[in-house]
Amino acid sequence: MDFNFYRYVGNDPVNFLDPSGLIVAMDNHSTIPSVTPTFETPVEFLTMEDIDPNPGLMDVSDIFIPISRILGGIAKGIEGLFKGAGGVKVVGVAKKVPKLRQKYINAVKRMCKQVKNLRKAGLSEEAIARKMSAGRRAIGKNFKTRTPKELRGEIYKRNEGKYTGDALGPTIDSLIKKGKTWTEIIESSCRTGGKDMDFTKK
Amino acid sequence: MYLHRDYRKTIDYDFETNTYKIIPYNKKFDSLTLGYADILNGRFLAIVVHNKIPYLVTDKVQIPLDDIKLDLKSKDIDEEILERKLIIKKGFKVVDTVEYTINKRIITEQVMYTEMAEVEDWDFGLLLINIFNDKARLKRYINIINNGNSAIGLTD
Repeated sequence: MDFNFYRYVGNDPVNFLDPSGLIVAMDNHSTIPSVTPTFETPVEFLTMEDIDPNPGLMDVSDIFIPISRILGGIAKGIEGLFKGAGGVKVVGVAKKVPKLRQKYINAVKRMCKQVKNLRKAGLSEEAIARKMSAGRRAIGKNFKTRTPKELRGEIYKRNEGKYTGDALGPTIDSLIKKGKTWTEIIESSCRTGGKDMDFTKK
Repeated sequence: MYLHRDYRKTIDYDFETNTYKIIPYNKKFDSLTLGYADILNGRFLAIVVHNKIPYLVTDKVQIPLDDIKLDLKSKDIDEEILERKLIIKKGFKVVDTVEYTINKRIITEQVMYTEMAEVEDWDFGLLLINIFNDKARLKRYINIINNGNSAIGLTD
């Protein structure tokens, strides 16, 4: 039995939090310990405001595991961080979400919480679908501006080919042409995707 | 026939000779074979309906779908590049193998912030595996091809 109650936050409950049990997050007022792990990709720590208070709504397998796999070495880096900070090997902190991705997911979720109320208010499925699709594109656009310029150019180019000229992704008109219903458009606007992002199909 | 990687282009595929040409989307093509295809590392790979029978096709083989089993192997080349190997089996016999690479970093960024995007949208081998593993989805895809809608995509 393990009596170390703070193992889950790397023996540092003052600077780190883990309300979901899945992510080690820094308190808003904390600073990262002065140990610099070597990351292939820059990773920011999550703050409390980035973490959804209701993790049950989040598709954990969709989000946490894949990202940690993609950004290979992050878990080791984090582990190294804690080793350096406290000389303790941390178990169970391998699943990390880049801050930006988590913010994106939260933004989509916040937007989609409106769906229920809009239906209650009597809006048509079409009106809601248009609102959600436009909202989702706006969120995507905002977040894409934070992607490194060179990579963003490549992504836009791919999207333009994939979505017949639209850099941001499928438009609502193209979805309608493909035979999607308004309800399906609402549902897909609220999906953050990434089910195969662990790239581990073997 | 629809080109998975770029909707602005299409594929004119001749089932009889098993040959293809990539042409602009708005250009007329000769063949009546409908389907969905991609070129992976120079290898042609497609799901088509010919004479109302669905096939999986490569530049080497044409196999009716109900005879096929697919397997996808992955191997990291480095932090960004992943090698995929799509193994096509007829019964227990391997009839063809298509090897290609994908860029994990680009796909990740693409999927993370693009509405309704999934990795399979950028990885045709993975798309095939996903639809073959879901019978209802496979049936839906075949219906879409059969109804002549492959020119507008197979998004389900």
